[in-house]
Amino acid sequence: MAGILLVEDDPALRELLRDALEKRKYTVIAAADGREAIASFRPSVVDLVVTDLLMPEEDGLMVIMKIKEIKPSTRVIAISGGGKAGPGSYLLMAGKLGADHVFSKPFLPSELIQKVKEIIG
Amino acid sequence: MNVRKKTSSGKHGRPEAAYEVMTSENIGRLAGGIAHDLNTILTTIYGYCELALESAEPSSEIALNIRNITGAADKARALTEQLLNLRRGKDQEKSVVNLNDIVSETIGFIKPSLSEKVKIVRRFPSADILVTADPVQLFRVFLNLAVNAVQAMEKDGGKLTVSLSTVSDVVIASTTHSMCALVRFSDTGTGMDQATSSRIFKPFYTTGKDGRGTGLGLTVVSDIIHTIKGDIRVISEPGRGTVIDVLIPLTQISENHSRRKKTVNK
Repeated sequence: MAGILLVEDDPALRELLRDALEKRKYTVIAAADGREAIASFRPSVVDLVVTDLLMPEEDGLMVIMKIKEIKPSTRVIAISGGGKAGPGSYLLMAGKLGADHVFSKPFLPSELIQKVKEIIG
Repeated sequence: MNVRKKTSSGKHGRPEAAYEVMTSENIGRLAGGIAHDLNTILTTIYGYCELALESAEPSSEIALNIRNITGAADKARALTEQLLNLRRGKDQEKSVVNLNDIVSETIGFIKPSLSEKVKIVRRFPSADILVTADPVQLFRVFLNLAVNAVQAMEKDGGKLTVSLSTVSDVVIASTTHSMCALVRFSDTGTGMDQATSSRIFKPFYTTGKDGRGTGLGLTVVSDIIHTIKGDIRVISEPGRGTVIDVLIPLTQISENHSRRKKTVNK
């Protein structure tokens, strides 16, 4: 089954999304911030990265850039709570950096699962 | 928000204007931060509600209680939308603005914090130079460029010349603009080599020492200027300084506008 690197600094949301993805038989590696995500990234296992954008340590934009450097074919879903709008929007920048899809919080686990299925099956 | 109006309303001029601009910025940042955290919490609440409803009998009391939770979450979601709209509204307040005023605001804002080793020279025309843009965003752009220039001269001192003029037949992104405003920040600081100057607008690229600078300031500056169809151009040489040109399509140059304004102000 396809592998997903899930990056979210909020523990409750991270566990919720991990449970939802694992129920659909995806292999999930969870990370609490960008630095941990980059250290946990296994190119042979991870097909998709689901990452929050505003996080301590390295943020989600840095995660996208570094992972795309290591394995350009990695698919990416970026999620953000709208912490920065306007011309410098994090979600806009995530799109520019190659995210396949962006979610604004709040969203439902079922919406994420649907998008994950579309992207990696 | 109109930067110039805020200045003229201040009892002593610039300090109040600077304070109000910063307050507005802080409010936007605070609203965004609160909205971000609330939206993360709401995602968890909605998520567990969705999971719980999957396993609850639709007509059960448990299902009813869960729907009541999502109803309350909907109200909180509307609140976060209001917070974000508050700030988005500030982001999009475009109007015809006089660059002379905004660049003057910027210089007035930064001057009190300068060391004696750093001088600022301004070269402005007498006529108004009008562009269509959000004055707060432009203030942010010019402040960022001025601060970077001053930081490049911190060690050995120097001179920052800020000039305002107009140029004709400017090509930006394959479009020729008959007239553009040109705001030039020319410093005598440390300068940059070509490799550095070609990367300064890229996300997370910073030359700031001791953790200073996020590497996003000039990226946002670039985005703001490109949003209003303008351009930023950099010429720099190590040890000789840096020239940054901000080009913005002109809305009009009107001496009459200037005269009318002076008449009204009498």
